[in-house]
Amino acid sequence: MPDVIRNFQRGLKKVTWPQDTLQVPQGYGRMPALDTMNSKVTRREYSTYVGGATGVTLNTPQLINIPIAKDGDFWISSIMGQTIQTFFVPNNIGYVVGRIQITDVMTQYRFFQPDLPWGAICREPNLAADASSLFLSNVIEPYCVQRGSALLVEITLTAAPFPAPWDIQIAFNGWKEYANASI
Amino acid sequence: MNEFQRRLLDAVQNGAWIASVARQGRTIVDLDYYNYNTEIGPVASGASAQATIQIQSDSDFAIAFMSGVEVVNNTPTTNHYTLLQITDTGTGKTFFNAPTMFQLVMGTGGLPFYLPAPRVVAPNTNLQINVQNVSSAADATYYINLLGARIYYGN
Repeated sequence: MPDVIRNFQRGLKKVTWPQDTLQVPQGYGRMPALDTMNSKVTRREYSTYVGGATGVTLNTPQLINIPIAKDGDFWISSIMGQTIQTFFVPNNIGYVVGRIQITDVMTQYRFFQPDLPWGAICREPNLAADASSLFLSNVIEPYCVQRGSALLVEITLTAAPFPAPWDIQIAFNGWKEYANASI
Repeated sequence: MNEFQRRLLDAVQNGAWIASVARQGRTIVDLDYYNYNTEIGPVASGASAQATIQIQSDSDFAIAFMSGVEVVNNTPTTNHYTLLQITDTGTGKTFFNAPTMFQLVMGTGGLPFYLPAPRVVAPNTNLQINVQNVSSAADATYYINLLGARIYYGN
């Protein structure tokens, strides 16, 4: 075995399975070597939390509350959102203008200070066939929302080339971390 | 297994990506790129449909990318309103907390959606894929790909 691998293995933190209410099945998963601060992390897997609002009109603040499940912390890696005309008729009109604020309800941490226009945090995909407004933002450092918390999204649309009302959906992509293995 | 394969497997097993998905106490004997996919449709406007992807019995499947396309009137399109949910029937867990717009999680314009962390599916598990064609425009057919690695264990 090459020395670099042997040395790497020696540096890996040993995991002690939690001995409280849940029993971890034999051979179930393995804690990644990335996080050496939180020794209780037992599993990490991709997940997406979404929330939406329907019938959105101009200059009307919309509140979207997205509860985070109690079985695991959620780390946000990127934020994506989409608006689409309520009548669901395909169209080739450009993007919608608005402002957005995201708040972690438990810590009251606000992602932006003050509210930001979408254009400041989002990248509009330059796709000829894209009819709805699709925005994407990569979070520079993954942000952890604690289990049991919620994300409160406030969106206000201020201008659009096609008439209201619209449906909006916003997705937070990232991964869930479980402190105890789910069975 | 030749020496190159053995050393490559040694290096991969100690990488962070595999460390986050490998089963503790098991020895990985091989890794294969693989793509599970399915076709759903045509789904009438306003209707729902589902399909099942069965994960083979000889390996775990770690999903790294997802990609998909909606086809309306024989033309791939992004001008469509579809809600999607994927359920791991083995664990009962869903990929998303609620049905999600197709384009938000399946990539767009030919670009796949890159999962921020792998999602592992156990052998012999069925993935249930539910689509709802919300758009009032037309019937749609959906092609969904799950790209990742099959992980084979020796014991």
